[in-house]
Amino acid sequence: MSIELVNISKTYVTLGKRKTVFRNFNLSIPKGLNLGVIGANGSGKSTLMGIIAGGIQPDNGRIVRNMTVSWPVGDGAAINPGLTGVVNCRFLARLYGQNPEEVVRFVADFSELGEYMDWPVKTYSTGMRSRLAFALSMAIDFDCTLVDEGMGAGDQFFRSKSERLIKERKKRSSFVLVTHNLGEVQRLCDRVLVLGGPEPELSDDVNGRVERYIAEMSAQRDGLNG
Amino acid sequence: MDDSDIKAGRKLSGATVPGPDTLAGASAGATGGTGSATLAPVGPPARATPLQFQFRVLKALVLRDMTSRYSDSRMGYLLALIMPLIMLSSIVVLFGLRGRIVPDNFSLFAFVVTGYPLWMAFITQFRGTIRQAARSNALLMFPQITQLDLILAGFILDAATGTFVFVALVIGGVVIFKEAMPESPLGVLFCYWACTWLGWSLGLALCAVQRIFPLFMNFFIMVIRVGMWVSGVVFMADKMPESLLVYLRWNPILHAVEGARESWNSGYQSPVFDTGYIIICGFVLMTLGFVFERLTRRFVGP
Repeated sequence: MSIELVNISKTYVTLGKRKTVFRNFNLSIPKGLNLGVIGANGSGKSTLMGIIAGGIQPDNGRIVRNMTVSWPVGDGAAINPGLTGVVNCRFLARLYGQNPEEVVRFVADFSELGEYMDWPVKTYSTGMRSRLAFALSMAIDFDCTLVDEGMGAGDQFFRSKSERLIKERKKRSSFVLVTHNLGEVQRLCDRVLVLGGPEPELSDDVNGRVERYIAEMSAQRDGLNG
Repeated sequence: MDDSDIKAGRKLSGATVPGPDTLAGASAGATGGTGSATLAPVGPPARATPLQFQFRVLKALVLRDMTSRYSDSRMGYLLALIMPLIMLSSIVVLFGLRGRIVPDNFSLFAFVVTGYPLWMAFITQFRGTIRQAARSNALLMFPQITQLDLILAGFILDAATGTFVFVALVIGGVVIFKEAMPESPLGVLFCYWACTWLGWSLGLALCAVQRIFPLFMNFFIMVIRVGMWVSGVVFMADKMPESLLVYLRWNPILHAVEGARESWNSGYQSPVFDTGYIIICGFVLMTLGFVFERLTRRFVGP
């Protein structure tokens, strides 16, 4: 069971300028692999998540999915701010053929939103919204869960609870984690994919590659500051 | 390609990442779960046949759309039903006050109810489909949802609401105004649904234009409103000059409106009504719509 990206190319045209994010890019995510994706803003992390999820179509290449994949948690796609937390949960449950009330119970329990579950999401704080989105994605047991900056939600207690949950889940399923929190990548991932360079770069020496990335970023910043 | 390549941080382009079982020290940091029941997920996504899967997606979207449109309250949905009733009642009263002369064998109510609601069904579906087809929607991030699903969900909700209002209007007229029942209620309903279907199919066929030239379509939506005057809503076909009718016969909405009147009152013989023509127009537009929607889908993203 795996997800295969075969010869993927993706180019965006913005204000008449072309930006190639991926060119003949290949990636295999077997079940059980926990992949961290890091890179500067605009390097293509969210595009990669969208391509893996199926929401963004590549210009060329094909994607073979032999396992169930979540939506990218954290980009807000799943949540309609005009609806209550409960209604949002029911929608996702129906979409994936799950019992709506059981999903509502899981999310209410895990997110600790309490009575706010019956309030429109637009009245939530950013932290509450992220807690809802994260809990919602964890309610359904995907073979591969895509987390796009979705773990930075809430207070320290919620963050450590989320991390505990991911550690529990990653024993039997895959995670693709996009984050600027490099510590999370070091703690949770088996491999790291660095975007933003001339070519995407993959390493299974997670700690070493993350440290090198920090050094590269610092050098780049020093260069910019003269 | 070996582990030393990977550890050195090899270039990924054109390469394939091996599985985690080949990695030393995989899952470092994993300390196991808490054992809390809270952490147990509800279950994996349920398996389904393609038909069940499509039904599941549409059901979820329609229910979500219904709640988001009507603010998750029964009062909101009730207002959506009542507002068209108030508007149509106003038209009947207004026509009555102006002493509008209606054709023989038709009451004012029967004349209005077999015209305006059908036109509204057409224009509501057309406008809704055009707008939905071009809207960038975060829901497209879900792999199982396509733009066509969103368009279909909108169609189902609008058609169901419209049908309910239309039936309520007819029954209300019969009960409150002591109007005679239509002679063929199913015939009237068929013509109402034909207008709904034609509006949706035309919207789907023109969605490609909307996706590529949105400004032009905004202008077109305004222009198409003029169509009410040549669709039999205000003037019946048998009162139109033959020189004009030669061209207006091409308008399938005129056929549907005339069909509704013929079904309401068998004493009226429409000079244009042709069921076959309505069905052919609907199928041609719908087929073109599916093709164009597929060809231009890439212009719309999440």
